[in-house]
Amino acid sequence: MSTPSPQHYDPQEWSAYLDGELPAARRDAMRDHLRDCPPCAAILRSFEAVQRGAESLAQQPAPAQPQRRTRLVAIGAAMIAQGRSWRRWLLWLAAIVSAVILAGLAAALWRGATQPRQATPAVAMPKVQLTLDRVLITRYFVEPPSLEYDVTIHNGDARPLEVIRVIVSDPLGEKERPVAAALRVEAGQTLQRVFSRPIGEDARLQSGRYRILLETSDGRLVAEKVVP
Amino acid sequence: MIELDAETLRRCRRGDPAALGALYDGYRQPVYYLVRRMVGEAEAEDVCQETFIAVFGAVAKFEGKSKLSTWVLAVATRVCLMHLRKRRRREISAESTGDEPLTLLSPSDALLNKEFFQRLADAMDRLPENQRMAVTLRSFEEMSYEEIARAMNCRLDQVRATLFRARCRLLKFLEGR
Repeated sequence: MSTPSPQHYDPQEWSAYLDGELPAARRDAMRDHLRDCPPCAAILRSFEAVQRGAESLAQQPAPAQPQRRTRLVAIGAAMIAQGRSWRRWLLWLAAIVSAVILAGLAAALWRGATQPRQATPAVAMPKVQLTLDRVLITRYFVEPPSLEYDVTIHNGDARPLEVIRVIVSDPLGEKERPVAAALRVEAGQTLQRVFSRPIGEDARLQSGRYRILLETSDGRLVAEKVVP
Repeated sequence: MIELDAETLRRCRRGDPAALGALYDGYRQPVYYLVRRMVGEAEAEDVCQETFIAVFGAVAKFEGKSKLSTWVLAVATRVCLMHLRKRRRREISAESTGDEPLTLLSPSDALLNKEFFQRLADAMDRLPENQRMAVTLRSFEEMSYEEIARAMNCRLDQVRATLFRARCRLLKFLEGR
């Protein structure tokens, strides 16, 4: 038989038609076309014969393998049991690890709550002195007002000192202040420095304890002042 | 193809041997047929066994996003493809990607008799791997283009074109007996 002329539907569409994989409108139009078009009907019949044949072949019973079946089912059951056992162990392990982490976190939080940073002891550095000269509020024209800590650091040691972290603690709360990368006090040097924290427009200097902690390359330095 | 009920499937996930037996009995025939078509009779039983081991190993992870039958056949498809890759069959490279000339069956040929089935089975064995896979999967009536695409890891339009080419080629083989 011959291939249909181009005005007919593309044979590939008949293949998809047979599989019911076309939009409804297209399928309906093609079904109508079939009535008056023997060549297209022949294409569809051929595809259909091949498809029905393949479906019939697929129905042929597989050879029975009772021993293989028994063995496979046993293997499957063992595999799943093993998998479940592993999963159970993994779940236990995950639970234990989680519990340890949570306990650690809880302990750290509890320590944090019961041991405030104000209690952080200064490391004994007899040759290094930190003095909190004054605490004041400074108002500039452009920038918001700030609470300033004027400090003096004296390094009487024979080696330079690096300031890594600065934490101020006052009636407004505790706050870490940024430190310039080059905050270094050379051996024998005395350095005056201002650390500030921004405050609200209407803030006033409140009475209470004002404390500054410097974490240095050699240890911590603490200085404080009480404002009556 | 049967679909296992939810309770049996749940028991399969727990590794209940009776439920796994039901799964095996339910899908042994289509899996065997697919495998037999793809790898040949000599190795069909071994690959079938490999498929069921893979199915049992993964049934606990089956999420029910598709029908169980589709999922089992998709596993079988992958096992077959892996097996064929190992065997380094290179039928795909011999496959023509162009359109096949369309040959039609004469009315007497279209009779679904024993001789026709035998010739069709022989013709299917001569198809390139992916065409054979597509025709075989399509011969399980539940498998839509989308499900075949998922099993074969290809696009929908590729399934459509592959099936068409496979049918054209089968008709050509049947005609040139």
